[in-house]
Amino acid sequence: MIRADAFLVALFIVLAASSALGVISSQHEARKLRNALEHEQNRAQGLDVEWGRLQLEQSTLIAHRRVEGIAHDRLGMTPPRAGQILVLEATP
Amino acid sequence: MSRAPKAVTFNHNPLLQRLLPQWRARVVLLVLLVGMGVLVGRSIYLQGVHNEFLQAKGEMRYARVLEVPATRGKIADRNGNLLAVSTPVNSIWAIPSDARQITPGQARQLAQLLGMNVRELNARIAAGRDFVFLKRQVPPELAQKVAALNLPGIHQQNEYRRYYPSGEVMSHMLGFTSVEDRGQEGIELTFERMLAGQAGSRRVIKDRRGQVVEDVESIRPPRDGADVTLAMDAKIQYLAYTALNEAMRQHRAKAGSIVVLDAHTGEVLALVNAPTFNPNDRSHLTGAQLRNRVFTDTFEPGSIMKPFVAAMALESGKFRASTAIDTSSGHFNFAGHTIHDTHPYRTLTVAEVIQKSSNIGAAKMALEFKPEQMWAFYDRLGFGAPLELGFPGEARGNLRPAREWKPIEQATMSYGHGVSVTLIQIARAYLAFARDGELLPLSLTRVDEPPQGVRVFSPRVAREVRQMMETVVNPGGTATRAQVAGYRVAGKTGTANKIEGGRYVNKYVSSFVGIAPVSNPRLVVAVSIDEPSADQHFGGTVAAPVFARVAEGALRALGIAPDAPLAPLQLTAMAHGGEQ
Repeated sequence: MIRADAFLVALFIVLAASSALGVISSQHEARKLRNALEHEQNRAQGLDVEWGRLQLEQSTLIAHRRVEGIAHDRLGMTPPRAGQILVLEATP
Repeated sequence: MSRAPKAVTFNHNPLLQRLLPQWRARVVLLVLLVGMGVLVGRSIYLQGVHNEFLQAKGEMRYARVLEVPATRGKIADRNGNLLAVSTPVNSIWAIPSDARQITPGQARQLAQLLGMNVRELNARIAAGRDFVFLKRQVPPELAQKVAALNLPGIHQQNEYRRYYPSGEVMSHMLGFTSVEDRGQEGIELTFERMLAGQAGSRRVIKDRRGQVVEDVESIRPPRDGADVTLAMDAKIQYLAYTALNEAMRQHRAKAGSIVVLDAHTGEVLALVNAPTFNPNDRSHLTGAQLRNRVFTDTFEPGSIMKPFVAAMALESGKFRASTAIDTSSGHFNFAGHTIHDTHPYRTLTVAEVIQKSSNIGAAKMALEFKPEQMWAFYDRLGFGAPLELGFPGEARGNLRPAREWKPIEQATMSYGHGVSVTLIQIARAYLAFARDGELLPLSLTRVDEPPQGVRVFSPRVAREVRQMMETVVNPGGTATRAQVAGYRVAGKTGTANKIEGGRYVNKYVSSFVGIAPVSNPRLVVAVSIDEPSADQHFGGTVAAPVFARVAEGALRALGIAPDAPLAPLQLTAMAHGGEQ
């Protein structure tokens, strides 16, 4: 009887200790993952910011005033006159 | 078996037999009890009374509340071109009491980075306040350099700055935001609730190195602002902008405005005012530049009101397009006043009254109606009432109640004097001609399903008046310069004297409102030029060419097929083009 009791006590001590260690390691793992997530979120935000900047740059580059200036001054283009436009009727 | 004597008990102790005085035991007991009482009291104090303070202190070592920023929504035109975008910037601020430790050399470095005068920088730091902005909204790269200096008492804060890539081309339409990223004018103000994001916050635990290791709770999730898609077409807007500025320069005008409406949907495709401003640099802003004249300025419309009188006359059945009206050779005496025509004619038909823009003809038509009838007609067209699009400072115009009208006023109102309107009201009223008698609510944002219209007169009348307005731009009309090659267009000129101090003066508002193409109207373009002071001031010479330029470009931008045969000259040009 006494031997059986001692065995159970020992078993529970081992179980409790290993579960405690498990808590510690999973907590550590969770923090590591959280840290990685945080890192990725920051990166995502940074990319978002860069995307916004690129969009801004794009819309600055395609601004009508700029495009017209280049077309007119550098490429010597003019808008077509009415007689130079052919309208094709699309038949469905 | 004998054992030890029974008299010896376990508790036999020779020391006890010495009988120590009772009080000593009591004293020890008392000391222990008091000690325990103190401990219990202290622990109650710490755990109960002082608990919150200590918990907060403890949390301060590792828990942080982080602000989660939200971005303001973007504004795009109908084709998705971005017109207003927020990008992150940093503001540099200082705690003056800490910043006093900065050495002169460091201050020079900082001033150089921020592009400030060292003396100015020192003056700011010397201020007696707890908090002072050194420079707001610096680019992130520069902010990083400032952070790298690692100066005491100098801090940064993340903010957003709004950029408008199209600059002054659409400044009145878009408006702008304050340095706190709140809408101040235009669309930015009208759609503030949609555009504005709401920053969130969350509580986290940080480790020794300042890295977040655990999310405790999300106090408030951030909500990014929604994007707004405008009805505006950036291409047409740019066309209108260049055409207006060209006209302003050519006619040395004080101000001017153009509105372009889509007749199918009631969308505002373009809206420009001059003078204008650059929304990205508002350091030298004047009130005149800020005015969104299309909405805020009322003017006496003049002859552009005449087509409505013609429509009213035709709708009643009292007149037909061919009904002749005695126009008294240019002088009509009525109720003690004389009404003049610029070009005198003996008689004109209703159609010719519109084509030649006869004041007398319009007045004689109007006088066939009771003031109440005419008022009701103008009222149904939306005059005298704001459109309520939510634009700041919108004017309602002035249409006085019919019972206050004197007969001469009713006559002058037929040719647009004694009544005042905004350009957007006029443009909307012309939708009735473009849409076969129906008015639509206007929209600043893109419309995918056209709204239900309100009928103000019959399709037959709308088409007849449209035909009359087409004669205005044809030879013999007042606005031949409104013609657009390849398209049938219709419109009406206006040249109204301005009122200053209650009297009409020799200053004019030249206007033109047109519809294109006539066979299946798609556009309504309204142009007004305020005080053209070069040699011309007639709507037909000042405003009509602007209309032609805008309409031509806009029709092409929208890909609308021409509905008029080309003139012979243009055909030859085409043949030559074909040979090449």
